[in-house]
Amino acid sequence: MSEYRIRRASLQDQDFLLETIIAAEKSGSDKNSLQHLFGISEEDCKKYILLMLDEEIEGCEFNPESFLLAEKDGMPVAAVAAWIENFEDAGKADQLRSNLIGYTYPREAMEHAKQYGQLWKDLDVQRADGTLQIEYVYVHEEHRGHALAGKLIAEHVKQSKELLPTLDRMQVQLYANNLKAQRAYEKEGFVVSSRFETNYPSAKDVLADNAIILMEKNI
Amino acid sequence: MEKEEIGNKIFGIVSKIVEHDRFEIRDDLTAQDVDGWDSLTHMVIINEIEDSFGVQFRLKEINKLKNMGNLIELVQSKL
Repeated sequence: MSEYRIRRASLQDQDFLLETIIAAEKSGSDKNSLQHLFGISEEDCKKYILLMLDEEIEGCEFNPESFLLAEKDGMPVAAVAAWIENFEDAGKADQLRSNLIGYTYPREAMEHAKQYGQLWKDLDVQRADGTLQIEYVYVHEEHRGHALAGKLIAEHVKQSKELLPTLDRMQVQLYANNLKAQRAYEKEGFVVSSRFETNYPSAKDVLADNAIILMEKNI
Repeated sequence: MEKEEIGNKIFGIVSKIVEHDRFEIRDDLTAQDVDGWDSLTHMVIINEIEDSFGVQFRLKEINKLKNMGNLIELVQSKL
């Protein structure tokens, strides 16, 4: 039985990154915010995610090179994205992400999303500059139980500290419904630092949950 | 178009989208300074500015924007 190998992702891995992003967005539900908030089809959503990855914008989750992959027998089986927030003034990740979505998605999708303004405001979690941001954690179900997510995060920490030796904190946001993930992060030393909840009536029609928790760990 | 005129027009767009006018257009104004300028309204604001001025931004151009001064200069460069 061969070992898992960790490597940096590239655009060549776009199919697995697409699978990762959608699974992480759904967080165990059938709602993908990148699709349902914008009222677009699943096929269109996939097309726009690929277009966003293709832009390779550094400093946010839609950059293939933000991801580390675990592969086995040459096939990617797990992925985690990470970046240092606003590193070298690259821009705030949420703004870069908004720019990417606004640039890629059609105007009608923006019009559709406008109705969820309150929900968006309620769940607008601020990322702290200079911290390591962990996003889009995914392990293919056949490869769970091998601590792959933890290994990928540890490698991100190692590589990011080489880039910024003073780096001392990492943050991860997850939907509050994902208790399994929360427990896994707690086991890795993360603690819940805040919780954001929306009372928007149809929040769960477009998001995996109506609450997000922010977890942090000193590194 | 003069910078002041562009700034005034942007003020109208932003205040309509964030639904208040409790801010002033100045070069060092950032999204964080304006209540309601979040990640969703940001997309809408950029789209509305493109439509109102009849310009189109490149992704790299909007990613470089740090403040209102940069935005006004970018719009002016496109007119």
